Amino acid sequence: MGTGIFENRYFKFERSVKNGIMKFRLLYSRRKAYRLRKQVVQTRGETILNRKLKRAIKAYSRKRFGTKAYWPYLAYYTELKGEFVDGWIPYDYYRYMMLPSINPQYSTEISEHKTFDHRIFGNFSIRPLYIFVSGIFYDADFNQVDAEQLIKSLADHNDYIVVKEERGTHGKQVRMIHASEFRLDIINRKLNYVIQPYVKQYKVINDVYPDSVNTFRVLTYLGADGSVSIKFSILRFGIDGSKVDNLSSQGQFIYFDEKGKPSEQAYNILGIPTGSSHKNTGFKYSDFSIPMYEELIEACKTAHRKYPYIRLVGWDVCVDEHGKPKLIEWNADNPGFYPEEALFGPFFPDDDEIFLS
Amino acid sequence: MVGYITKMYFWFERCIRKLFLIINLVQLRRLAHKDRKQVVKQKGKSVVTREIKKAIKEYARERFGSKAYWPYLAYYSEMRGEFIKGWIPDDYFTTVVEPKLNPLNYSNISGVKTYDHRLFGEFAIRPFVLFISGLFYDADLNLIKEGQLKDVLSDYNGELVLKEEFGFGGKQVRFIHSSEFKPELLRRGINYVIQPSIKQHKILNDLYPDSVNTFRVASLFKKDGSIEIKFVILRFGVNGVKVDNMSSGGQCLYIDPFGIPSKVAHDNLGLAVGEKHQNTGFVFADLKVPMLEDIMESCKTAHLKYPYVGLVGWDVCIDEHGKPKLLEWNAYNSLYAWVDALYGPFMADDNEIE
Repeated sequence: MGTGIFENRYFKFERSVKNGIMKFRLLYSRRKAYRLRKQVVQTRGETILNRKLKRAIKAYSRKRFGTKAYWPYLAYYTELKGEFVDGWIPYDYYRYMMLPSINPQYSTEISEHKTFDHRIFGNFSIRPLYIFVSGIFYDADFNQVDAEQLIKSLADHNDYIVVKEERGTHGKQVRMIHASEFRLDIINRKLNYVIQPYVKQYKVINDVYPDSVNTFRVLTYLGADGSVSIKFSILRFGIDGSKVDNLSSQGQFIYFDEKGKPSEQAYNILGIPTGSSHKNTGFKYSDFSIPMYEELIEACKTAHRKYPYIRLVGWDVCVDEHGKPKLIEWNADNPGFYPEEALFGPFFPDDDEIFLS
Repeated sequence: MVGYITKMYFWFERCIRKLFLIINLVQLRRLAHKDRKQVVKQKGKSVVTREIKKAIKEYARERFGSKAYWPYLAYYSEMRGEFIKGWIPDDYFTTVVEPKLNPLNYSNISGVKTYDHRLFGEFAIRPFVLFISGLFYDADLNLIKEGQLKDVLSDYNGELVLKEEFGFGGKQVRFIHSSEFKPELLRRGINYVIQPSIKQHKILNDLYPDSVNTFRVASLFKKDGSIEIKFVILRFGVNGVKVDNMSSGGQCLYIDPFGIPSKVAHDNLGLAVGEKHQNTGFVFADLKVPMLEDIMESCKTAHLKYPYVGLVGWDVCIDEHGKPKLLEWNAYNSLYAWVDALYGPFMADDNEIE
């Protein structure tokens, strides 16, 4: 389609518009960093950031990332941690510079296709009862299933099921209903869905907080030599009757160190400590221990090896009643990062890992 | 305040997107005019009279909501020699129909060539080595250390095909002997699939031996979950070219559902280029493809394994044993405009393009 100058101008224009949008995004993201920092200072009642510290942060930002403009997130991290730590990655850099280069966009899209997970990861993911793709129902092996037959066999299922909308985020597009209540009109025919059996969670995890399915978030990294390592691992749970464990829906988390030892305290989405035991169940976090923790970590590593197209993956894993780790979903587009990095990082002190050059 | 900014931002993004779409449409229509002129010049006459133009515009307004879609329809009319209702103009297809049938987030995987054998199994050529994220893997995704690579290659000792992921028009395909392979040939930041070179079946080799000649099969996922084959064409190279892609000067034959080839071959504009291959002298009408049924069935089965996209263009060759093998699949630019013009309309049913 070589129509010469016109096309070149067009691409130039497209590029400059894209750059403009990116600048706007960075600006917007930094405004959020100010707000986060303010919130932390407000909760603490004191600020530790002074002129000297700010200067050090800006110097670090310029030295490592080429511009001091990345200081707002680093300042927020500093307030949260109580000190400045060399090696941190500011969230805006992580999201808009690092992730696009280590997780190319066309390779991350498949992580949002929940109807596809079991085909990539096999037994690690929950085997769907049914899936709904392009207006047709299928079983897990992609054999077409008649809608009436599906309702009949769901009526016999006699347990809860989970209906997940593809491309839904933050657990908002997930519905838990009894199988006998399934109706065709709860499905939007233009979208894809996966229908899974409801997973009863492992006893210890249930004891932490029984109303939500509490999931581990394990962040794995594929190194330049092909090895997969763990960047961090946390367990999230709901509070105050919430049915979901997402941090964005008031959920909290505990952090596990390399040996699998839990943090004394739980934290909220801002990274502010919320106490050493669950406010509703009274579960003491330092007592948390499950025998299959290592197995869970290994399962995430093995799964990442099956999809080496991206370097960083956030795995949402629960443990079923028999103690088997089960993949709920995986995130390659924008796996959460900032309170963890501030409190327990730096996870990427090595410039080679973030492909700065 | 923040909500207001977010709203503004999304509004701005929408505007920009609309603007891009308009620019794209203008450009496509310029192309349609250019192609039409070329057809008229070659044929020496024009069939689009005032009356026909009026009928075309009326059809465009009625079916697509705007008469602005007329240029492609006029180009098709010149090609065919008459105007036929039911055609889809290419600008409407690429900007409206295809994004709807093949949402970008689902169609992108068709460019991930290192993934084909995991999706389609035996139908795809089993790769020899994969190069993903700067690392070498075997077909089962076991890591190959750089030291081991040499042994793997010398064990193979034959011709290899190096394919760049997201390469278009066969330009990103290289042929190389395994003894000449060096990791430095691969660019970092790009994934590659390295396959054994396929020996094609005699009937295709007789047609033109220098390129691997492939069938392009267009299949549509229908509302009831079944697959319909829309058309089959066979592409081949000319003048010593190693690839059969039309954009690289290749030509093609239309194969009807009964396996009978078109009398004349076409170039990438759809213009007729003769009844014999210009280099081998192969008479196109003599071509018989006994495995056509097998090819179409394989494409149908494959499409059922990935029903996320509505329209797929499959590039299939036949190996020396007569087995259809998938070289590539395309969920982007899946329909050839001129095939619709000359042998269509293939998408006359509004239900199918909704």
